[in-house]
Amino acid sequence: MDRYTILKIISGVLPIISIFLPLWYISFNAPMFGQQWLDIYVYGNGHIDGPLHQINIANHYVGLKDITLEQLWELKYLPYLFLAIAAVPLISLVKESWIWIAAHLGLVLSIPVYIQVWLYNFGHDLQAGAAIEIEPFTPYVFGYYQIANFKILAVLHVGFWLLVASFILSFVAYWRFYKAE
Amino acid sequence: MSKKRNNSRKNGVRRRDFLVAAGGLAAGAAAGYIISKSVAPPTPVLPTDIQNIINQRGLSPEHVTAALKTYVPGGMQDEFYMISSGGHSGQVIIIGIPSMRILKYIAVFTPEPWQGYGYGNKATMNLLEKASNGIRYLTLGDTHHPEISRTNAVYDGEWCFIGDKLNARKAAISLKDFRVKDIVRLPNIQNQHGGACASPNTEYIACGSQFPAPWEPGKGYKPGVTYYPLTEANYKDYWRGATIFIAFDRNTGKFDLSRSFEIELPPYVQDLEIIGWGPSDGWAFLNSFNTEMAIGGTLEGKDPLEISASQRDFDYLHIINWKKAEQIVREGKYVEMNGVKVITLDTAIEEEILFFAPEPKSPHGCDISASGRYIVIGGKLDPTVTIYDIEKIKQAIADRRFEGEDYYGVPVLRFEDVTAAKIEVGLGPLHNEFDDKGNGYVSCFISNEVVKYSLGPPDYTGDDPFTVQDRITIHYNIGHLATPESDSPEPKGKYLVALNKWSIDRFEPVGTLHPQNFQLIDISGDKMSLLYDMPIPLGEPHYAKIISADKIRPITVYPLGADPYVIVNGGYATHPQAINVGEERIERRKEGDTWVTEVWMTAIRSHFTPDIVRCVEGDLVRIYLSNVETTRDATHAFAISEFNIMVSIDPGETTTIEFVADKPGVYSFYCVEFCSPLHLEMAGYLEVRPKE
Repeated sequence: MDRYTILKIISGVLPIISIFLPLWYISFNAPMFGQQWLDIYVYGNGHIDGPLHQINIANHYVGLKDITLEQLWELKYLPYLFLAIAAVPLISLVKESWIWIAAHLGLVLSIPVYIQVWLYNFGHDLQAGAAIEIEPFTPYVFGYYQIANFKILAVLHVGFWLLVASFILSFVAYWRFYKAE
Repeated sequence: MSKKRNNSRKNGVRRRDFLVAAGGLAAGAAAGYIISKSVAPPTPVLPTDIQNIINQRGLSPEHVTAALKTYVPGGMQDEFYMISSGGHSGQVIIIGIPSMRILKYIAVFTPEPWQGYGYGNKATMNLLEKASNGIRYLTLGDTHHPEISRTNAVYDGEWCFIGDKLNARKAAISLKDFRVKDIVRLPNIQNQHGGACASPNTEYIACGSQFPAPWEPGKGYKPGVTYYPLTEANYKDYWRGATIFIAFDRNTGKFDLSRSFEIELPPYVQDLEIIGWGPSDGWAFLNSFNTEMAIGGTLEGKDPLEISASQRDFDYLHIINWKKAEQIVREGKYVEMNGVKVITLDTAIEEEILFFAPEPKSPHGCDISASGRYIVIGGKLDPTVTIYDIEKIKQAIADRRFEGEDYYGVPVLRFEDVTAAKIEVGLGPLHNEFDDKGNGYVSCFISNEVVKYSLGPPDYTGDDPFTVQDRITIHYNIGHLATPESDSPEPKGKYLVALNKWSIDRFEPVGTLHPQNFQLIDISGDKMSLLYDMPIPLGEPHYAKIISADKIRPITVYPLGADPYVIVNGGYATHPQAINVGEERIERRKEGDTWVTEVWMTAIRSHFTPDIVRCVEGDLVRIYLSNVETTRDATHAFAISEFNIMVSIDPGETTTIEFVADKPGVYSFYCVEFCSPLHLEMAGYLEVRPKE
């Protein structure tokens, strides 16, 4: 097998591995939790791990909606997105084109973009009649920041960086071994 | 030339060189000595701001040292837990060492509102009911001797046991959630002191009675029933002491009377008890006083008890072969009395379960050294501690060397046959504990001091065994003392707490009833030094156990729906009525002749659901209250005005509240534990509609 094919195959395998790894991680601390940080992990398979219940209790005072697994319907389709990302470099083996590279990049980037949009809506879609009224706000998909009494650390986790690696391998294969010929 | 000198050096130091060097050294040393004598060595200087604080507060170097040894900054944790009795508060106190911070009061024999203990929480009401004596609902207790569960005689930090002297009860407290799981009333015993003491693997918790109770021959003592006129003759014939070995099951947290046994004892005042390990495994020891069998009678021409019970120079150390007693019970040689298998005094003598050894004079304390070899008794009215040797005891019993029998026929060993040493320590020696270096420490009530002495081999291997090593004055009137994990094979040394009965002038005056004074003493060096005075404004703490903090493994949140009072296989059972958010409801139906309103309620920051409960006058109301929080500290408390109801529901806990809505009206209920910014709004109403 030539290097081009090898790179494309690895590029196609990485997203499948990352389905089982944490995609995004967000951690909260507020004075009411003492030294403890509440960690929430979102996995590529759509699984969420963490004390959502405790976050919801803290959130309800300011009219933030309960985060429940039923309400997060997108998560059910997350594994298919990963499979789609895995499929792109494999399809390109049949017929290579810059379109596949662009699609690969677009699909990978759609994840943080979607999370960011979701966070924006979450912070702006406040329930009327909450006990404490606050200004709408925007949490970030990546970074360390503070909102009211909450310290928040958000990180795109290893699952996402495997998707980035998958794109880079596919792109290198295209640029060095396909276009160069 | 130089070569020549080198050669000569190789052959050895020349005499002249040596003399010059030696002279130089001597002169230098002398000069150095003179200089060092005349010029003070540089004193280490503290930063000015620290020195200023010391000056402003008028602290001595000893104070500063003590402060540095005891200060535990916020957020840092203590080295040891002290589990102290709360005396007649009926509670137990948890204290951190060396900071001496109070961490918790645990309600045991007395209702306590903060923990919602005995104020409507059905499980706690049931516990107090079960612990009552059948003639009265008891809400008083006098906690004396705590004990910690053991594995191979070493404290394992899972359970704590505490006795109630006043009403002869024993409680088991889980050291996972620091709550009482069971209380048992000790049959045939009116009051007890003997402490809780655990067998090496906590199969039994043993303790002796204190003041003997009247026994109907073959039937024992029954509160409110058994009666004989109090005369000296009747006292000898009908009054009896006892020691009970209560079976305990760690997996359920319950005592089991059906597997327990009791040994009938003469009507002496039995006092402190301990169960041995190592060479003393299988044996229990129990001291006594008033072998005079005096009953007082100051208005009837008799001496008061304090005089008439102190006439003899010796009382009796009870030596009990408990493993053999267990065997005797298995063979069926017992009489069932009030729900427990009793080995009668006659059987105990006949089967050679019980022996006495003389002990001077109205003693106190009964403690075993780390090796399990020495049993140490404080003389109380005799200024000595007596150290018994289990090897000698076993030998004397095997050789049947007795000096005679007591009034009831119990064989009495010879004092000189069974003792290793008698050490004169100070006035009023009460109680001994031990460190990790083979030393004993005895509290001397009358001379107001703690005296340190050496034991013998194998505990102490120095060349001055059984000698006083040091003494320190305490403030004031010390009762018991406690060192970490003493009376076990692995005492830790380092600290000693003197449990002083009087504080007199040690704290700011607060009227006429003064706090007790716990004094923390550093015993890590050769000399003891005082570190800290801690006021205890709650009952009269009697005795305490100290255990390494790393052996205590508490939970901080219950698993959701847990019933803290039902333990299954060491974990919490799910409360049968536990619910989650969305399952709340109210149902009213008839149970026999009674209307019952049942409420499935949740508590979460910051609301009870439902927040309006409607029922009818005369209804039995049962509220199954689930705290569905999973956050540490998110405890809610539920109280109803005018109803004397107060329940604490810790995160994850489900509890049952039961009461009769006997008066019509509308009553508010609210969360009593400040939980959130909307805590004040966490409230609701109980509507009791008048009966048609």
